[in-house]
Formats: sequence, C-alpha cells, structure tokens
Amino acid sequence: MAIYEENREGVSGWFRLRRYSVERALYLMQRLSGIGIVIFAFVHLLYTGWHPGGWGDVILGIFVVYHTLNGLRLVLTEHGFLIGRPIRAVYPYRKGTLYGSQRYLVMVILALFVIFILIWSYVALVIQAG
Amino acid sequence: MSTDKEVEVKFRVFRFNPKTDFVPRWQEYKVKVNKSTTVLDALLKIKEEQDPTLTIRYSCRQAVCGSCGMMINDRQMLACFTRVLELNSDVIKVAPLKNYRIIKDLVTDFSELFQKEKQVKPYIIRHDVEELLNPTGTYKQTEEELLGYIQFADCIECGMCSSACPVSATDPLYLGPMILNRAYRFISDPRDLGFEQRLEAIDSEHGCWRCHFAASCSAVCPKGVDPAKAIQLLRRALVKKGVLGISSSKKVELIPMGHVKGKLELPKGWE
Amino acid sequence: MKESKRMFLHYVSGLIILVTGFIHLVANNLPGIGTAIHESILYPLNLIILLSALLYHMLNGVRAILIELIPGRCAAKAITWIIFLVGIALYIYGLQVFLNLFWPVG
Repeated sequence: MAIYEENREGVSGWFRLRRYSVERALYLMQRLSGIGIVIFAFVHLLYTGWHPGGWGDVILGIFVVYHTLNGLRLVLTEHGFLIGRPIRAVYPYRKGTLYGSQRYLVMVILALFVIFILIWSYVALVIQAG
Repeated sequence: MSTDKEVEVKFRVFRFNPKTDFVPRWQEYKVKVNKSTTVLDALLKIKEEQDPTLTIRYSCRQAVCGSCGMMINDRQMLACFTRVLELNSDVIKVAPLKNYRIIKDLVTDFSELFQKEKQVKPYIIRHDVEELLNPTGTYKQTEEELLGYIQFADCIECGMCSSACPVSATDPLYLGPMILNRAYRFISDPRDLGFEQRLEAIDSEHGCWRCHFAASCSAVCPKGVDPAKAIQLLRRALVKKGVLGISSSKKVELIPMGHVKGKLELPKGWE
Repeated sequence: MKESKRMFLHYVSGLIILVTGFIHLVANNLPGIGTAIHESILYPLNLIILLSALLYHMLNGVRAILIELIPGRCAAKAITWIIFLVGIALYIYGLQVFLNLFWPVG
C-alpha cells in the first residue's frame, strides 16, 4: 500500500515528543496556542468586545502568555542569538542549541509563564468575578 | 570473561515489502547479546542465524558512512553506534526511518533527498575560472574561518535529522535540516562565492523559513553537527542581507566566525 | 516579496502586537489609567496598528501551517494569494468596526 510505503508521519509527528528535546514540545505548544488565539481573535473581531469569561479567560491567558514568551525566545534564537558560535564538534557533543544559554532561556520563559499565569488567573477568577 | 555475560533480548523488527505486502508486520526475534553488541551486530546475527530474508543496509559499522540510520525504540539512531544493552529495554523496537519511502524492511530510499540537495548546489562555487584551470597556489584560510564551518562539514548524510523534523513529517517539499545544513556549510566557507545562487532554493516557501526551531534534528544527530544552529545562522545571514542590505560579498559581516582561545583550540585530551 | 522579508515582518509584527496589545488590555481592564488611555485621541491609532499587526501575524502563521500541510509549489503560491485576499477583506471589515466604534454615524 502506498501510504505504508511513503511512511510519512503527517500531523501525528508533531505529537511524538517523548524521545526528543524539550524544544519540540515548546514548538507544538506554540503552534496549538497560535491556532487557539486565531480562533479567539476572529470571534473577538466579529463580536466586538467578546471574551470567554471565567475559566475561558484563564485558558485564553495561558495561550497568549505562552505564545508571547516563547515568541520572544524564538525572535532571539531564530536570528542566531544565544545558540552559541560554530565550534569544532568533539565527543561528547554539546550542541549549542540544546545546552547553555538557550536552555537557560527556556527555563526563564517557563518560570515567567508560571508567574504570569498565576497573576492572570487571580485577576480573571477573583478580581473580575468580584 | 565475566564482563561478556550474555543476555537474551527480544527484538521487534518492522517487516514490509511494498512489492508484495499490503500492510507491514512486526516480527519478533530473540538474540543473545553481550555488552559490546551493537544493534547492527544483533540484526546481522538475526539475518545469519534466524531469518535470511531480513533486509538492512550498512557499510562501515563505525558511524562514518551514515547508511544504517533507523528508528530504534522510536528514536532515530545509527544501528552501528548504539549498543543494545545501553538502551536499557527488554524489547528493542527496530523500524525504518520515518518520512522516507521504504524500499524493503529497514531500508529507506534517499534519492528524493539527494535530488533536493542538488537545489542548494552543495559544492564550492568560484568565479576565477583561470585560477581554477591553471592553479598557481592554494586558497588560504585562518583558524577562525575554518572553525566557522568545520562543525557543519562533519555531516555524514545519514538523513536522521530530516527524519526527526516535525516539519518534514507533513511537508515532503521542505528542504529539511540535512540540506539546509549542507547549504550553510558551503555558504559559510570563505572560499565559496555562491550565496546568491543558492538563494532561490533556500529563501523559497519550502526553504529555511519553514524551520520552527523544534531542535529535534540536533537532538538526534550522531556526529555533533547541530543542524538547528546552522539553520538559525543561515536565517541570520538572510535577514542581514535582505533586510539590513549587507552585500553577500562581505562574508565576514554575514557569517559568524568561530573563535580561537589562545593560539589554537585543541580538544580535551589532544595535547 | 521574498520569503525572508515576509517572515521578518512576522517577527516585527509580533513585537508590535506585544506593545499595542498590552496597551489595549490595560485600557480595557484597569479603571484609573485605563480609562485615561481609552479616552485619549491616540487610542484609535493604537487599535489600528494592533489590528494591522495582528492580522498580518495571524494570517502569516496560518499560511505557514497550511504550506506545511498542503504539499506542492503551486499550492504554496495559491495559499499565499488566498490568505492575502482574506487579509484585505478582514482589514476592511476591522476598519469599519473601528469607524462605527469611535465615530458613529448619526
């Protein structure tokens, strides 16, 4: 059968995260949160001022905050910052994209993500609900 | 010797012949391995002793030729470079590389990949024809210039990075980390003058901008090449050229050089 | 336009959304300083910049996903054009929404 012969993973390949580095999971979440924001933005534009409210606001906040923080990381790394200079590959290999400053940046954005989400959840669930 | 204690390990091997089979099947073999047995050794043992119809491709057995890349326990690995007992698993699952056409069993077809590679002109392009025909000397490089590309020149073209890439999983036209790394290796070579000629393939809809920095390519590379870094540096050069307007003849400004600590940076244990 | 310029604008528009979107959020949710921003004459300008940047960033993202999902060189060109036309339509609709919001007729 041609589909088995081609052996292409398709979209399920995005979700195969277990044996790769954490950046692959970050990429998947960036994509899914982006799709979520696009859906929200369409509705928000069609019905001006609409937002989901309550727990919906928390989920939207998770999408927006994650997409923003990881987007800032990608602006830096995808233009060649913080991934290290070219070096001579010597065993044991320490690849600049997986170690060092890039990995610290991942930890920083994840920590900031947790902090911002806690603040935002408090605002959305406690203050705005009155 | 006590260190050569043999352990019996179960292998689940992917079997599929596109010419005769409708669906692939998983076949199980039991092999006795010791601590120095690699997955390739075990597969060859199966082929010799249990099932001569099993098809594998290999050549050098020492991670130099890049023929025996396969999915070992759902991750791209070189069969000759992976010891069975280091996997720490009772059942070893062996399948052909994802995202390539299967020829038979564990053998995949790279011809599409090498066709795509031709688009980026993987050779040094020079304009001084007279010098090329009647050379008067050698092209000289500094240590920094060499370190700028030597990491990316280590690629053995095993195709595992392009197989691991989540973008190649859906987009068969995407050039993929292996080819973009190849392109960057020649672009960053100070002897090369062909940046402009490679732009058509690299800067297209299926070129380097489809990379989203999942870094799986670097995670699976067996030679420390770091294709993800090559792609990001390639994009840096493209932005500098296209947006900041730096001419491609000023290679020093487009390409970051390696840096030499002290006189010459020797790896640990080489002194 | 070359792909590198399109994608560079993607990053730039992302940074613009970060600033203008933050102003938009503050203006709509904080009582004190928010109302002051909301009544400022420059606030509609902020919204128009946000709309332009957001539409570009969003539709370019959708375009990237679609190009990766639908193979074929002609498909990539067709997707780009369709997304471009959709973007123009949404931009006109959004401007009309702002006109009704800030300068209502009658």
